[in-house]
Amino acid sequence: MKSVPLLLKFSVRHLIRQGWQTILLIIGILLGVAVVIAIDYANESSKKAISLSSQSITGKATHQILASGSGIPEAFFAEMMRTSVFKEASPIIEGFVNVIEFDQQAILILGIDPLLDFPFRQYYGSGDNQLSQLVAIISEPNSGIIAKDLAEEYNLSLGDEINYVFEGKPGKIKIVGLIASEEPIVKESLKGLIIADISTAQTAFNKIGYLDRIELIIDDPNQEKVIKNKLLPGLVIRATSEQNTQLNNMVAAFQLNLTALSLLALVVGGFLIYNTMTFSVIQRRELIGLYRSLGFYRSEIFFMIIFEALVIGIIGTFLGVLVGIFLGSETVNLILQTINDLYYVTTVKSVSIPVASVIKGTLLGIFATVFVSIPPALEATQVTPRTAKIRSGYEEKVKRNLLYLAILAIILFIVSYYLLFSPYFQNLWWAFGATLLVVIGFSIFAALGLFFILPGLSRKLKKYFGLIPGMAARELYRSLSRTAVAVSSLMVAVSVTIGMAMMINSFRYTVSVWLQETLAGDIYISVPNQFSNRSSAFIDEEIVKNVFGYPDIDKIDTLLTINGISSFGDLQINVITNDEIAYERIFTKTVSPIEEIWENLESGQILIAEPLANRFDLGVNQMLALETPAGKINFKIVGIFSDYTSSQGYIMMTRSVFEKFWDNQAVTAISINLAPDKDVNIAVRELKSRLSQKGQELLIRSNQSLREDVLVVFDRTFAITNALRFIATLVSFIGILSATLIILLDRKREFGMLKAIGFRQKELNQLVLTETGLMGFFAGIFAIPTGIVISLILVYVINLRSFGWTIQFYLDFWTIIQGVIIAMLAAFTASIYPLRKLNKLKPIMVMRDE
Amino acid sequence: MENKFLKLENVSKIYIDGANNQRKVLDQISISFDSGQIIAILGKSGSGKSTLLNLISGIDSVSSGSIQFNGHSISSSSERYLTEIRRNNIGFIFQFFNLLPSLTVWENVILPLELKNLVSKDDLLRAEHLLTEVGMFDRRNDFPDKLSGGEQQRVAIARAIVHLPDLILADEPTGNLDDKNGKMVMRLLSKLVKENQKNMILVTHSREAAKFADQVFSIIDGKIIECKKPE
Repeated sequence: MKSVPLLLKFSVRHLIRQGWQTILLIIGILLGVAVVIAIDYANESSKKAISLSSQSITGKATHQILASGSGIPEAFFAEMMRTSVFKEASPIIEGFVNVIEFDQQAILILGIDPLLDFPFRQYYGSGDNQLSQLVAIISEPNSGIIAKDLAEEYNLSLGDEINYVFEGKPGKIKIVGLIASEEPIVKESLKGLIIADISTAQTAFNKIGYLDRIELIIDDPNQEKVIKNKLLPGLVIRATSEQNTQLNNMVAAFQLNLTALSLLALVVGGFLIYNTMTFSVIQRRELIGLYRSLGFYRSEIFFMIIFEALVIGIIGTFLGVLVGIFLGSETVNLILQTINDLYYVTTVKSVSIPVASVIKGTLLGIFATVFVSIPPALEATQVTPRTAKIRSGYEEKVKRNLLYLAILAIILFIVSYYLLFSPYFQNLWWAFGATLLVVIGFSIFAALGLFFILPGLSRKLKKYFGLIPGMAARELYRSLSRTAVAVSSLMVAVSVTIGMAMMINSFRYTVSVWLQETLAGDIYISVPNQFSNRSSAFIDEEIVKNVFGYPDIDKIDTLLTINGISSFGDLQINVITNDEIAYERIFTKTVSPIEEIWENLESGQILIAEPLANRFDLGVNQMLALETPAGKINFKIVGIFSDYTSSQGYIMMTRSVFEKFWDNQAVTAISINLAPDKDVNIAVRELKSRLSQKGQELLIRSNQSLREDVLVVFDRTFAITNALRFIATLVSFIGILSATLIILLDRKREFGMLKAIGFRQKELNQLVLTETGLMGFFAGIFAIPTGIVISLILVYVINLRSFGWTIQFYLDFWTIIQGVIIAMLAAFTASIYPLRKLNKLKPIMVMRDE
Repeated sequence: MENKFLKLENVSKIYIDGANNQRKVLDQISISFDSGQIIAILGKSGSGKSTLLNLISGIDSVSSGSIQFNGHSISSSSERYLTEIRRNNIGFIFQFFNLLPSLTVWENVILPLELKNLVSKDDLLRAEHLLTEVGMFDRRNDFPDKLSGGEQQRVAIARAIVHLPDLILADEPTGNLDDKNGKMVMRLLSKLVKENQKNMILVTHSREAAKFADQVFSIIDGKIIECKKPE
């Protein structure tokens, strides 16, 4: 292998000489790697943010006692302490408030007993000063401690008051202490916190006599058993680690989907690299033949191509890492916004760059580049000095191989079908792997499609449109080894964008139909809170009474949303009064006729949302055990309904049933149906003015504005997916640009000769644009079935497995047309630069070469 | 009346290389050619014979001097006009054949007719006749990459003549062929030029090919001189 340095020199020279081609290749890798790193970075950061936020809440506690539905009676805690059942315990009251001075930022008020809580949290430190500050919150009502950094950021000092809004009601807290930590992680988690005395928090959150949870530090496993036996009905003890796992699981599917979609960008980038490396080998067949005739071994040729891939892989990946970190830091807020909207309130805003993401992205970028370059490198080794000059021989070989490729495509389809539908491959990664196989299969079929369509098309085009269009189609067929790869790559990229767009549109369509079905009220009233998909804040009793007293009401119903605990884990309980509910839901399964459902519900049965059924693998007629203040009660499931409010799902029970087991008459939302002929907008205005002086901020929305608000959150949730789609389109554009550059500029001699024999510039342009237009057109056309299949997999397999949602597939023709337009536009745009070069081409330049 | 279809007056061509060095390839050439003749221009490699052909066809531009073709100035015409001249009045034959790979033999031959947008029945009959003459009619549906070098050049000859151009420019038409094929191609070419009463300028370094010419010139040190026809 003495010739290796020589070959490496050839490689580097080739890359430098190719100029734009190399740059485009690097940009393709850069974008692929950047997207993967950005999403991974954002995902890791958001995971860390959740973990930091939950750490700031749970501290060093090993266990927690939680209540189902309502709080833990304070007397229970006192009794446990008095009887020494609890060794180390800290009672907690907590709630998110929006602090006006902090630009309405959500901050957690953590109500604690300073003396009991001191050993639980790292951020108190060990100094006497910290403890004395903690004690200060006991002595002064409505006081709290905030992070020193936070105070400095907003120019606040000791003695200042901060104003907040909790569940629509204003409140004040006086700063009596500043807490600081040198530990970066602790420092960050402190920024989202106000520490107050438990009584201050109880008053602020209207939870006097109750606790939200009790934190415990338990060393002895027997102690857990002892505590368990002493628990009141409706209370459970749970390990903190289990609680954190539940939190992470909640967002895991969302994050996995993002990761997989980001990998799709890398796949598109991979196709681009494969495309360009294949071209670069075909382009150099004669040169490679010359190397071979000079005595270079096949292995050396292979090594040369791989080395080229490695060089551009390293450069592209390095730049991709830098861009990825930048994009990631921008994306993390988008992801956190969605997590905050739908899952969990995180108060941590920034975390350090996760090194693991950078390493993962780097390895993936370099590995993917080298991996996809193996087939072209192997192809290069097949070139012999004799065959190098026979281009037609190579094309014939490519066409002969299409049959084997077709068989391969069919095998890929069968494998992917098995991966998608076999019960043995339920993990989401299998589904994404199957999607990739389907995409590769379709890309092979695209090449086959060209093989069969182009000859006939060329004849037809010539007959009906003249010589040049016919020539264009014939040229595409003649150089199928290049055009098929270029068309397939563009097809893959466009199909990914069609697939993703169609999935989002199907989802959006399903949600809007579902909203129409389920939102039967004219006006909805709730209290604004941190989540956009549920409100668990109680509406003041007086306000509820006032709303009930509003004239012109035809029907009024209330909703109470609380957190419950089941034998499977935490869940949301929606307590309803709406006896028409069965007519306002789309059921996937029921055990009784619609008209009997309310009766069944009133007799103690429940309805569950589809995501919950999928999450816990529950079916109709099954029993679901819930912790209640009256003990563990089994509820029979009478029906499962479609629901898209969250991927966690919830259960529905009637208020009369709920009140049998829980002592809670609160209301979290009201739905009003106005008397006929009453104007909704006028009623909304009247209700707003009627309730404006009642001391609680309310969201009073018409049916239409609520629907619009839901769709705004929906669109926000898919903002990242759309951004990924855009990047995939960008990568595809670079792919076709690079392919067009190579295909056209490689035929300089032919074009020069055409000019020499009298081809006008206009005719040459027509020839080039017809060729690129046809490439774009076919890429767009083949992308349609591929895109539809991708979206079908996303809708019926991946979404269902990730979130438990059954989405109605919506064949959106506009998305399809858009896909074809994108493909053609990309192809046309890609031909601008080569055309400009060809326009400047003087026949003499190629004549001289002769 | 003077029967000169092509006139060159004081034509010079100077190339400037990257280091700004000037190289005079053609030096003050003045010559005129009679109609209905085959003219051969001999010269060594790099003597400027192909450059002369490129200047005549308007593919390249003169550094000084003028070229008149059928009474029209080539040296001072627009690119568009030159394209029209090449399309309608000139037929090309290249050393490397330069058939269009995406077109069949038949499509390659009728390409100049189609470019004129005038494909009459007579034209097609002539194309068929020409293909038969060059012995390629049976291969009319084949693509160029299926043909040997000699076969490709025979197709290129038919293509160069099919639209009845006034002038055929042949740049080393036998340069890439063996002796036997070279002779056959030249015999065919001269026969067709004579039969169709066309003019041909043939650039070659082969004395064998030059034997088919009516007049032979040689380029030496940038100057053109008439020389004796090879025996």
